[in-house]
Amino acid sequence: MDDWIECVFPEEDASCFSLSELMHVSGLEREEIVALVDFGILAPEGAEDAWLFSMESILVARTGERLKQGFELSPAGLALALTYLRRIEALEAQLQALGCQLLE
Amino acid sequence: MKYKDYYQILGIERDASPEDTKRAYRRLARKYHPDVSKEADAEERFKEVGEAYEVLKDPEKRAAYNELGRYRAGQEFRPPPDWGSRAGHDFGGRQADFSDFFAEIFGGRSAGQGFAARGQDFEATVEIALEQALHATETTLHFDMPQRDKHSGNVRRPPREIKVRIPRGATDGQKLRVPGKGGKGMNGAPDGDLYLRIVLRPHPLFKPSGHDLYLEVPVAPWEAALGASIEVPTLEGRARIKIHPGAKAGQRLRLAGKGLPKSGHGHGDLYAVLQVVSPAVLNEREKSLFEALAKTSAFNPRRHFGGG
Repeated sequence: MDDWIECVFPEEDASCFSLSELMHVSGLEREEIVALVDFGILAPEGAEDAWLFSMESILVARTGERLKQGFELSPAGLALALTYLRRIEALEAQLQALGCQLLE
Repeated sequence: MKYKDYYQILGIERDASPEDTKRAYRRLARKYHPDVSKEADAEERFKEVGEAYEVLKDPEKRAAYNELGRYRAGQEFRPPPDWGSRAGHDFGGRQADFSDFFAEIFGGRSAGQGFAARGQDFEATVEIALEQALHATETTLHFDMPQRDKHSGNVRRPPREIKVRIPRGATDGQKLRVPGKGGKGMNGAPDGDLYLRIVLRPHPLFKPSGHDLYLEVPVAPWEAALGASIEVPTLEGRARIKIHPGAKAGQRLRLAGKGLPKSGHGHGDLYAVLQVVSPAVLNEREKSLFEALAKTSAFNPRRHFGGG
């Protein structure tokens, strides 16, 4: 019996989530998700009252919720923290690439 | 059940003020929060710290916890007989994230009241070899999933196995969500999700960067000076690369499509990074050849330094 669970990479996953679904899965409040959209951390498709969020958004929102709990962040503070976190991840990827080219 | 000393976890005295409690929490949150911490056991420690603060920051919960009595951390104990009236706090959906100790003390009664709680999310790191990233990979994860027994309301942890298939195209640090494969929801609430983080095991030869691979290729001084056609390993076999005369250390040669596969179609690239190495030991003949070359050659690699 084939009981392996197939995993899908977020960028391949066409699933869409509504605002309330995202709230439910991530644990963030509506106000916080709206702030993340306003600050460009999340980029849903569709009109304001019918936003559709990607699978990637869930991963971002969950990280956000964890940061919020850990550091008692306001919605704007959360947006800033995630902005910097994203920048750090990009820099680490660059460092990784450069490190690969460093000769022993 | 085993006692958890929340005061010890936060590093405060039993009579610590709310202000001191908060400051102790903040210090530890900074130290162990998984998104900012480099500590090895950050995730686990942070959960512990968070739970301790959740209880001790609230005067009511703190008082209820104090009434359990004082025990050593890890010591077996029973709550006092009249303690039952204190239980049944509602911590909302996050209840599932707390330890068994917490669930027993604060949540034991709510299961019977039909309190619906979404199942716990589970997280796991999956380590795979570079070669495994070439194809879909199957791996088994082992979890001790807390399940609330329907009848007694107690939390049990039967071991569970989850078998996952990671598609081809994984990169280092990639995160995946597997919906509905986390802990069971209570009283009709949905099950939690499974979150995976892929880690590529270090390879003796290849260094991954996204879908690209880097391979350090040592060449002899004469190969760099004269040029050469050499064979290098790739993840799936071997390839020939052409070194042009006058090659420099650090020079990158691109082998298109020989990197890690992308999840759709296509591959990243393999970059051969040249390293010019001199022989450590020269025999007499080699030495005299090098000395003759040194005498003959007008090549000055340090011309731009000026001076003599």
